[in-house]
Amino acid sequence: MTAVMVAQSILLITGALFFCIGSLGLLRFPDTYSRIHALTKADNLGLGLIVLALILNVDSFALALKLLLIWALVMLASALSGHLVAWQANNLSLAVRQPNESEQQVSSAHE
Amino acid sequence: MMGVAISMPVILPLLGAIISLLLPARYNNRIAFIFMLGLVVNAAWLLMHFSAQGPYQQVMGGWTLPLGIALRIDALAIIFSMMSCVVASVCGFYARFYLRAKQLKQFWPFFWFLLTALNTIWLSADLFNLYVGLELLTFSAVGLVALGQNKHALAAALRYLFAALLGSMGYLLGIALLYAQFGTLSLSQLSDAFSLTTTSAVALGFMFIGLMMKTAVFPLHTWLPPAHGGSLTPVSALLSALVIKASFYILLRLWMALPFGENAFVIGSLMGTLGGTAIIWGSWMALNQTQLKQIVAYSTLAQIGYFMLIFPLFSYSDPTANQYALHGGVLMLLSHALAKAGMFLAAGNLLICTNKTDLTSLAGLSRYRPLNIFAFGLAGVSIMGLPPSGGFNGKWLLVQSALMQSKWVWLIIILLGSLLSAAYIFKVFSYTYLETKAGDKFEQPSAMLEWSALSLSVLSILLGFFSVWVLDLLTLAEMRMP
Amino acid sequence: MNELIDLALIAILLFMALFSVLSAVLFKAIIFFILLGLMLAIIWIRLDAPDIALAEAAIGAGITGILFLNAQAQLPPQHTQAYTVSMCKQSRFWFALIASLSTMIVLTLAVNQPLNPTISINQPIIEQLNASGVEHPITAILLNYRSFDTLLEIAVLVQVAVIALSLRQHEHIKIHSPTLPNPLLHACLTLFLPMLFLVSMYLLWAGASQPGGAFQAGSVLAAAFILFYLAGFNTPINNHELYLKFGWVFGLSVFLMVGILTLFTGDALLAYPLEFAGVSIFFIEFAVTLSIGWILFSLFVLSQNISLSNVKENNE
Repeated sequence: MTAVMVAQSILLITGALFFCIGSLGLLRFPDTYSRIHALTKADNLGLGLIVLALILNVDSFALALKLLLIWALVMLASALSGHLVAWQANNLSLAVRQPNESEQQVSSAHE
Repeated sequence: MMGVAISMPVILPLLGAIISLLLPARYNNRIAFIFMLGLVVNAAWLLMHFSAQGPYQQVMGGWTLPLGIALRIDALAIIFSMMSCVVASVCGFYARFYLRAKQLKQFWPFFWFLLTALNTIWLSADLFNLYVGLELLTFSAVGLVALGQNKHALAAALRYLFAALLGSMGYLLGIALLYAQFGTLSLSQLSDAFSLTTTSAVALGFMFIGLMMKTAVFPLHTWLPPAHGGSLTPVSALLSALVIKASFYILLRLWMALPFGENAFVIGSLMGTLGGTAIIWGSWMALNQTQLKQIVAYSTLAQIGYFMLIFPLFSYSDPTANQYALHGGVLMLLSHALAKAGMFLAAGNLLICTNKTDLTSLAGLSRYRPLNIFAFGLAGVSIMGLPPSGGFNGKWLLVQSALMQSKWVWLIIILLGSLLSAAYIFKVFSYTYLETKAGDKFEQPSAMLEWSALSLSVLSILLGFFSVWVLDLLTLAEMRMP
Repeated sequence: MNELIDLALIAILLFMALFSVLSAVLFKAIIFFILLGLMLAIIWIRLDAPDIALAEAAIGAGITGILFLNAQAQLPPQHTQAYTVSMCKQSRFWFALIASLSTMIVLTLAVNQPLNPTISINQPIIEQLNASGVEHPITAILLNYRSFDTLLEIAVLVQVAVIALSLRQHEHIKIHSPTLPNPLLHACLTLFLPMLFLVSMYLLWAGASQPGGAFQAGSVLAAAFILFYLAGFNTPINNHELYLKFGWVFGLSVFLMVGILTLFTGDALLAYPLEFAGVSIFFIEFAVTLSIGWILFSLFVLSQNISLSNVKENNE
């Protein structure tokens, strides 16, 4: 178990943990707008940590740059999609709910 | 020269499809005529070459087996190619006069893709290529059924799609297992290398079940009556006459190419049982129908049962009985294609006359529209198996084969099936012979429609006189006896 | 350790499939189906088939998912309701269950045998690779050894597009195209579209020596077209039937023309002359990529506008 492998393990586990937290947020947050926060921010941070873990394993600089490019593109795409979902939710006048309101959610996707 | 001729059956329809998609609708008919002529000429050339020099195989792309895909000409391929050329020409001709302009414009691309798929299946000697041909065939047929554009046609097309895809999946699964076991996809190499192990038995099981599902063998047949009975007339004719034969052809090829040894008896009897049940049940259901096209559709189900009877009548001990079974089966396939297409086209004409689909509205047609009744009747003679017709010759050979091997069960089933088919054909006639007080209030279908239906029916009767030519082709080449 | 990963993947796959089939709400079933596609892509990687993984992720999960969601959005509201547990009372459910279980058991029996293929096909594939014009065995098989299959498969794709066109009840394509007049989307498009085109062409080019090829490139191109269309840029090209058909037929025609050419100069269909094998393959692949992208895009476009007529019928 070299130091690199230990560092990789920590990064991978933390990354997976962030993904789990993001999904937990998706399930538990009360309305669409707050769920977007969980999905875009937490998940992308998790992806970044995983990409860092992979980069530690890679020989060529070009390949490392490509992996970072993947992370950058996913962040761009999720920023865009998050904005689009929120924009459409706003157009459909979806309510902003508080955490302790009733659980009668109508997900925006059902329109 | 041979390389061109052997690829033409696939290239010409593909070109036809591309051209019919791009050119304006008014050129479609001329293009259709030219290309169909080219196909018939090419098939005739291949026939002459086969009669002179025997079977021929060529690998596409200039490679060798097992890398490439082989196309081959032998007796079965030639017979089916000619059959599909003739039947498709007449059905296309009928469609040209039957369909409205908008429907006709959508019809031609499907027609050409259907022909491409059929020719691929007849000529190909490669398992996966046959699968691709089946896929193309399925989509062409589904598109043709959906041309009807009403609710029932769409529902029937969707159900057909599901059943056909399920069958294709079974076939593909079998291919994967066979390839893993034997390392080649070529039928000729496979027939040398084949041995019946667990893997290959499972593979063949999946393939056979998948192909039987696509051929609508009882009990996997429920998709057929709505699809064939509910689609436009030329489409029903094409489907019943040609599309059903394609998957059965692959079944026959597999059966003849792969040596089963002693297990052939068990497998054959199983398939024969399904076939016999199909004959009895299909004929019984046809007898109970009230719509003309549904009777013809269920009649197809019954006739498919006759094809399945080839398998139990295959014999390892008696080569003559074996040969009779094969010849009888091929004659039944051929005569069914001609007769069923003729029957559907004639039924379509009768429905034009009355503008209703019910049997009771057929009253008086025997008096006022005798040409169409005659066409229907001639086709019915072949379906019933009355002499002289192709259907009679086929059944006679099957009966001979059963007698030689003392397999009484199949004999009884064949005779019973003939009786039942006579029953439902005569039932239709009983309605048409009724007198109607209204007089000649029927529409007159165009002469082209009437004569194309009649020509196919007459061909099925003529097949009875000229069966010798077909049978000579079959005995010309070395048919592989397992 | 590898077996654990394999078992976990299989278990997830089975659960995705079960959830998709038994799901109460149609939308959930579609989402699980998309996830099933992604899981399959991972399994393909596990089985050492990156080409298929690319195609599965792009087409099986991506395009198919889009088409399903598109169809679901246009169904009238009562169709999206629950199947409920009464499905368990239907006999076809039990037929399907028994058939699936017996298939699984039989397949397990079949693949448990040690396999010694009598004819080894890997040897000739590698040996003839130099003569085939490309360095990647999958591309060599698809576009040289078994190019006849690929020709017919392209014909199947064109056929599917023709069916989509003929299923439309209306004579001409009057498309009420969707618009998302979001300034951020339009701004991002200037970045995404060139990148998608670049990736598509790179996949096509790389297919000669690495996993990639015409189908994968075509699906990325289709994604670019669909994105462009969804943002509201509706050109006359995707409104007129003839332009649509021309795009579909382009790849098939080029493939067929090359095949016929070789027929008259060589002795078999699609037997590329040795020096030109690589060039012919690239030429064919390029045309096929454009056509595949156009066909997949057309499938999406042609499934629009049905909601318009549905809405009309519901209001009348």
